Amino acid sequence: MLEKENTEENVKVNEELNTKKEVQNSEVVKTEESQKEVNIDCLINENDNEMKLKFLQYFPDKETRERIINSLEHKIAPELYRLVNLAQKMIREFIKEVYKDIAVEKQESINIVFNTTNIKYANFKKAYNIDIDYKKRNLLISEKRKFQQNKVLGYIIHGYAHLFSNIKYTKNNNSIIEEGNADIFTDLVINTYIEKHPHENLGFHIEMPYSIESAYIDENSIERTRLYALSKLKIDKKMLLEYFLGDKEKFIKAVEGENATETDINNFNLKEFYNKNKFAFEDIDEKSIYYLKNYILPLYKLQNLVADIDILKEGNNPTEVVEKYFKGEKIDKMDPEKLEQIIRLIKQININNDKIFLPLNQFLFEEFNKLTDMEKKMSCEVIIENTLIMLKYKEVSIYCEKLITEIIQYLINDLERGIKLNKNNKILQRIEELDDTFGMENEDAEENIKDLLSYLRAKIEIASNGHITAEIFFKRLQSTVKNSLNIERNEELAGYQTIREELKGITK
Amino acid sequence: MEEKDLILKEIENEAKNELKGKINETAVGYIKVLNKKIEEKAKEKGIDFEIKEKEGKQID
Repeated sequence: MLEKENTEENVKVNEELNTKKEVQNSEVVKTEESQKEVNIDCLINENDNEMKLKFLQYFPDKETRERIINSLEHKIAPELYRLVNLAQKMIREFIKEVYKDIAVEKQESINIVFNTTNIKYANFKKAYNIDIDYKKRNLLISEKRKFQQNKVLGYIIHGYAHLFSNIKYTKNNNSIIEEGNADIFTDLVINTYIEKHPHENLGFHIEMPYSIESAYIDENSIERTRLYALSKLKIDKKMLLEYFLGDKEKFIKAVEGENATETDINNFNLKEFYNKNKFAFEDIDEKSIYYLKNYILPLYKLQNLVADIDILKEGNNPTEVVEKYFKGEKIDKMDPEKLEQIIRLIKQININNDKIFLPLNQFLFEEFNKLTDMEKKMSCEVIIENTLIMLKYKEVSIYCEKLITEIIQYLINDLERGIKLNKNNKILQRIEELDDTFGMENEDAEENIKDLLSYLRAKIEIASNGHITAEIFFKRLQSTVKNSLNIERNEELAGYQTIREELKGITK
Repeated sequence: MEEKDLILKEIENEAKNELKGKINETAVGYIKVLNKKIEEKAKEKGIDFEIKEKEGKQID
């Protein structure tokens, strides 16, 4: 139904349509205020998306609007057809899960974006993965990624997120919110779908939990932290969709408060946000999707553990933080489980932001130097377990080599003197958890420590079992073969069989 | 190729090498991180160079 004040526009619609085609047996809509007839069929048959979208505003009834939106045209390259269909299906399912009853306007935005966006591969000269043109409604994907379908799926959904966000493009949106939210949207859409369809064969593998490979570290950390806070109020997904499909102001007010200004949303303050939303960060769930690609939540988690000092800033000394946590206890008294928790959190922070903490690899050296020889001998089990934790997280400097070998030797001496260990299983487990390298940047030092640890392990096993069992021996052999030899599986199995038979021959 | 272009090409290669092992080229937003690095390095070498965001376009 046309409104009175738009009668002039109505004349324009007819003029435009009639200059292009003759009207033939077409459906006619009579308005209440106007005697002018509007040719819906002609509009629908036009090959001009922009014109259709321009005049959509004059058709308030749902059925006509649906007809116009469904008549919008777009081109999807044949080789992308399957993935685009899958992406659209995933998005629709996610949105249905969040909104049991989606508002008409939001549903229309989704359909308009899907029905107007042209998607194809392109050969880019620069290192682009995605190129979106909001005015031409093109989404181009780098041809180089053609054979990495899991990545292309992520690019398509990330691209659609930007297109939803910019359906009425006026200017570029704030990059932090836009990129962080686009990544989160992609992760949520794909993870939600796979959880609901765990046995569906997509034709390619997706590592779970899915998280789009992204260079947007700060963007993800900030937005995921904001949405984590909203998740405690169970409005995270709704607000995320409000950002993309509805009113961005609502999203801004939800994350930063009713009086939030553009400055607040642009300048995320670690301490202020933590203090304002303490209720949300009391017991941070590391399994949350918002914990992925996020250095802020681990930092908040660590802040909870060391409440006495402020670590929500750059340049923290990790040794001081650990000392504070253990209330001045030295490494011979530090509980290994608790030490591992602190070190793990610091590593999670460092991976994504190396300015919050100074390097961690001096910590062990500094701790060793605080111990007397007597303390080293008396508590070598605990010290070794804590050392193994630092080796696992590859935070041991080359200067620790001599100190580590000294401690290991103390324990070996104890074993050889028949002293019973309290932590033999734990130490064996910690040795098993080590990687091939310890990140010490000196191969000789690493080999030296590995040899000693191997000897220590054998000593512990002999002390526990009386001898090294065939089972332990073969487990060790398989681990060595797997890690250091490039050998066919059949050859490997034949080798073990030969050794078994030879050993039987010897024992006879 | 002009001298400035040659230097910028060299800077781009340096920047790419520095990002190796930290961020893959397949990551969304790689180009933006690369461009930012190139701008910083160009500034250090006293070269006036800025990559402007294009209106109506989004690259990732």
